[in-house]
Amino acid sequence: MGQVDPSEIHAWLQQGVMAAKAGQNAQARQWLQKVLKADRNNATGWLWLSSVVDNEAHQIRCLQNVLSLDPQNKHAIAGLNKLQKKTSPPQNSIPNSQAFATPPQNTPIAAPSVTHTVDAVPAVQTKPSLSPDQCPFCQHTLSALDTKCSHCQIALTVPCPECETKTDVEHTHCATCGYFLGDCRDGEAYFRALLKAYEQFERFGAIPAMTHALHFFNPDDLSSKIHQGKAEAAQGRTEAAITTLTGILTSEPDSVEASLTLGQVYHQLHQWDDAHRVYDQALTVTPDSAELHYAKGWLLMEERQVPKAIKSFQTTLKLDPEHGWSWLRLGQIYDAQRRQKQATQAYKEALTFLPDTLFVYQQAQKRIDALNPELPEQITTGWVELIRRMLGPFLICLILALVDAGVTISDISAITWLMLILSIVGGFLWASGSSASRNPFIRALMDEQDLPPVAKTVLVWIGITCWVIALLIIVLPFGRTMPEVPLL
Amino acid sequence: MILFFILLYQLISQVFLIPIKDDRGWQGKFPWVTATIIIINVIIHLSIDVYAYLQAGDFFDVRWQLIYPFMQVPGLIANGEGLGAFSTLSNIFLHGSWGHLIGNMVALWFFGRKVEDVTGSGQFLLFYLLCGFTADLASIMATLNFFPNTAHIPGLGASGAISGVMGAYLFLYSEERITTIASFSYLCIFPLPIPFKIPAWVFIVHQFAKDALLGQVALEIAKETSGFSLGIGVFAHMGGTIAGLLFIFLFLHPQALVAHRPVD
Repeated sequence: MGQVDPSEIHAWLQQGVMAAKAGQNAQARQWLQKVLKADRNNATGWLWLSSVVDNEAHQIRCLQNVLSLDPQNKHAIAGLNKLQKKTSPPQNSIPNSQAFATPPQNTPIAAPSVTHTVDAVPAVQTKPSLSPDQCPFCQHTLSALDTKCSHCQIALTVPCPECETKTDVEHTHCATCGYFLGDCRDGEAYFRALLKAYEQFERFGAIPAMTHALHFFNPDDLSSKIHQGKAEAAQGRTEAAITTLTGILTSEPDSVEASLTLGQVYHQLHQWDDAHRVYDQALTVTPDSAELHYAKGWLLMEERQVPKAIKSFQTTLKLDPEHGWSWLRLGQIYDAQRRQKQATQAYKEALTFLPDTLFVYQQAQKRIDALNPELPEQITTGWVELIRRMLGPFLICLILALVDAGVTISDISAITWLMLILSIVGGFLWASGSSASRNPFIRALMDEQDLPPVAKTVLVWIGITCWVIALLIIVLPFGRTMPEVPLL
Repeated sequence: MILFFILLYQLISQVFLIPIKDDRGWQGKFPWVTATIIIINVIIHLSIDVYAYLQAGDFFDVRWQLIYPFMQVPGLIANGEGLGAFSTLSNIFLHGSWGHLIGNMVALWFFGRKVEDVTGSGQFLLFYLLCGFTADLASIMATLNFFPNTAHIPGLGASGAISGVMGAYLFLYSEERITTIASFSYLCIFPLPIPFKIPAWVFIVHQFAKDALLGQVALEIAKETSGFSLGIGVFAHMGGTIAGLLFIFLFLHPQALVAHRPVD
């Protein structure tokens, strides 16, 4: 690694410390590992890392590293004492190989000591010993400089999913952050676990090596090829991804996962027609796949073919009523269409089925709150709301009265003024009855109690009647004559 | 200056936009009031035409005699003659021709059902009427103030009310995209069969801009001449659009008002 500016290392350290203080351990680990990669002798980094690693063995190692750099560090001494009282002796161990030799005292311990914690797999005792001269997978003879077995072509080092430090496959833990990599003697299971970890940590560059290894153990393995396709797509190598996935579909046209992945690649490339073609083909083979219907719905949603998208999501939910993502997308569609009740219901269903760690979960929660807000007091119980509801019907009568008086206010007759007042009264009663619980007049009159439903209905109808009478008297041409019709 | 407005108007008015659908899609709740208004308009127009056809005499003459009292004539309104406020109500259910009717009803069906979906049926009816009356008032006042010599020319049509509905749509869904087909104004009956999507605000502002420019042209000409009739109620359209933008606020449910605030 090239020289890093010390001020940058300091900035990373600060970020790591802030994240650790905020309880964001995963983020803190990432920052601190970055610091330690650049400066292995950073005692502060090791000390803070000890507070955010996820098991005691790792904590002990970190604190030991602190003490090797700063033997008088009180925090490290206190922490180690506390931990060493708690830690039970190791139950299983892989025999030491040369890679696990303890370095000299004053050098920070880069490699963890070879112990398993209590939750290690007991079956490790029956596994064959690892030899430094032999490939652990095909037992082919290795030379000292080999980084990849020349026979099976499987890499002999793997990057740590968490910190990306390259580690020999014989190591069960990452040299830097202590992440548990697994036991390479587990063969296919080892690589499957690592593959999953790389996807989780989005280390897509490491996936092709994993798929190659899985192919060695199981040449017919389809899922690893699909993972490879996904990794290629995630890395932006879309042509390679399309080739890989199309190849899978040629030999396995029933593969829903391959169809989904290929469709999503086309979707990301905005090649809508190709994506539709892939999904439609897959649906002819597997018409009851909820995931395919969902993927198609999402594609239609992005193309803004909203009614068809709704139909697809509804089909998905018929097949899988607990498909949280479909509920979420429906909620988003209804939300955009201002269909408040349906959006709220769909979002609530989504929250039932989606994990709460997702960002969209938080967004859905916020939208539910926004769609069903605590209404401001002026709207719930205020005079402003009452006047707002009265104003519409009154304006209708006012404009008609103005027109009837030849657009001259002073020419409005007394009867028309009376009718305008009647329209205000009618509007007031109408608005009061239909929103009695919010009406400040009713609340004052009834001492904060609500009106009985019958009373509300009566009030509304009296109000409507008054308003209609006022409107009719203003608009009907009493006392007027039909005008003389001029020649066309 | 007047030439500039005429040129600009000619440029914009070359394109006549016909809305087909928007991305909001079908709501599943039938727009009863919008449908009823359309049916009433069609029945009235059909009845008038059938009656005029069945009467002896010139069809257009008979038709004119029948509908004139119910049209909005600014001069009669100003003098307190005619049917007064009733003509304001009646004229929004009358149309000059089938083309006029169909054009208005297409726009009403497209925009009206979306607005009714949000306001509810009862409130939508009140809103529609309010926009129509406000549009008429705006037209009357503009005529009396700027074109007094044309005050005898009657007006009719639901355009003012429908402009109000479009204004409400602009308030509620300005970002919505409308699938549109276009035709050149003189070839309105032969639209180009190439649908395209435009934002709703572009569609509505295009309509408003045409009216505003034509109105400005009329005002400029009126300054120079003794009278000028546009043949189109541009001030009714503009008045209706502004009324729709302002008054929709009075007819929305409180939660619909509050629910549109963005998420932080």
